[in-house]
Amino acid sequence: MRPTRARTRLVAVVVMSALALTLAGCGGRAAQGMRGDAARRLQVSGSSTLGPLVAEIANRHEDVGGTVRVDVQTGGSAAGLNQVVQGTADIGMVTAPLYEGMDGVQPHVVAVDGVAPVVHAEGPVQVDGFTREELVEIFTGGAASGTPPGLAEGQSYVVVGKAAGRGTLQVFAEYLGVPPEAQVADVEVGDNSQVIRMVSQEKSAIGYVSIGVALLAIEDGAPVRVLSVDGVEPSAEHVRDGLFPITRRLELVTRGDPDADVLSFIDYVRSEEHEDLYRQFGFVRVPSP
Amino acid sequence: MTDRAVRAGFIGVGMVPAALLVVLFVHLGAESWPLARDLSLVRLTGALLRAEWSPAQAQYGILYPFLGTLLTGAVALPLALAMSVSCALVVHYFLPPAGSTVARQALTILAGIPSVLYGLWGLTFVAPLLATARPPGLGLAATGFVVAVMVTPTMALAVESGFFVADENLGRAAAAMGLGRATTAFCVILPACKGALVGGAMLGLARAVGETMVVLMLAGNVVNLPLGPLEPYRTLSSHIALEVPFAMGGHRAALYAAAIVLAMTVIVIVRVLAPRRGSLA
Repeated sequence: MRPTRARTRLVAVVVMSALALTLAGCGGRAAQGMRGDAARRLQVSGSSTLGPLVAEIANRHEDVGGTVRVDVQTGGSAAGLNQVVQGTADIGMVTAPLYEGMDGVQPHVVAVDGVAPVVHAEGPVQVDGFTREELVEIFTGGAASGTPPGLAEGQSYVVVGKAAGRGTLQVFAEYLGVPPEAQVADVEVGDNSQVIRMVSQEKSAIGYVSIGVALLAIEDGAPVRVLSVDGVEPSAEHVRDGLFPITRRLELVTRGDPDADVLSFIDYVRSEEHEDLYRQFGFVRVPSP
Repeated sequence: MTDRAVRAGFIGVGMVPAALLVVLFVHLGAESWPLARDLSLVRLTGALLRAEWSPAQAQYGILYPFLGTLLTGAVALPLALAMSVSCALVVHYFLPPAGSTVARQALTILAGIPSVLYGLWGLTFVAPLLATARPPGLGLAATGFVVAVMVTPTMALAVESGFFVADENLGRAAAAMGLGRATTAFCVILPACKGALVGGAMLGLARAVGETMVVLMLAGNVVNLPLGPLEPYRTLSSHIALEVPFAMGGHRAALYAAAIVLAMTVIVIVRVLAPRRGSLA
């Protein structure tokens, strides 16, 4: 159709509205950066392993009258790291060294934790633990041929895996000696609590979580059982003494040197007055250097 | 306030949806540009329409999530059509007037219920039921069914509004010929309502294809081609939602490209199925 004047005008209006909307969006972001907050809010984001502990400590921080408000959210280690790098979070919580190779990211270790397989407490699993080879078979789809380790003939697992970007997946895969993409699961979930939920609801499920999270869930009554790895029982003591084969550092990361508020909160998280919380959550606290 | 100013103002505001569409595509294109920069369009499509999704090795094949989206629509649409047409027929022709009003109100409320609630219902009732066949009960069957249930109220209401119009045009003629209620409904009204049916199908399919929350809860979230009804899979929408929080660089650009593919799928659906006169009847 020949472009009439009315049509040209219409196109012009659409384009101008589009430009206006885009500029409005950009303006908003700039204004936000310039606004000085009277009460500082710290954004802490990342691993679901560390999340609950840091949230509890943040509550204590408020109770003792800290001037800074701390907001804790979980989305996985990689998500937290991403937000720190992009500047939308002040502190990231990571449970695997995903920041390796990135400049400007500073890790501050707060605790050490282990990763162990979990199954249903009344499930069909007949053993108390697995070796590395058996775990590789279960979690990389090798168990499709023949009976999987730990089960009677004809039974099979519902493998609960973790989604990409989760620190726990990274650590577990590294221990198994396979890349994280090699995981073959019947369902992929995100948070540790989702793994516990899946395993609680499904008798033939098997997954892997932070030892601290699993032991705490058992105390809260979840019908799950944590298994030993290479003959070592999953406990905070074995993690602390270096006996448990799958361990990782739980760290708070910042972009560059932390400013005064951030540093003060990180020091608060590491202080020994929270030893009881660390024990309760099943982690081994690492004192500040 | 002159007439011209008011008219210009209304035209401007009325153009906002079109403008938003332009802004959306410009934004999606800009964010996925790093992926396209060094490749031609053909090679880019080839790189995307591949099965291997492995960001760590710069493999960005979104074929399986794309097929997951199509399969979800393919499973949900027939189910939803069957349920919504039956529902509309019953509400309009086979219920007493009081029941009809109550049913219509119930449908309107159901149409507004957030998808996350349908997902929760699926997790609590549908998945455990399917799990008796193969644990954990997640996959195409659960997702397709719950999505179908979710879009049925909207579709049923759209189809029923077509019945109102057809009634006016044909209802009296059918009654004059002595046709019974069932015969009128199935042989006269329903064939005349093809436009409303297609319009309703378009609404339902577009919503099914874009659904994210129900898929996140019921599909199993594994990058996989679901060869059976109880195998885990992802759709483009759930794939993007799962990975975007932590995606950086090429990985992130690939997810924005996936978003463009999803948007184009919806556009194709709407263009192919849209009723000719722009109304639903």
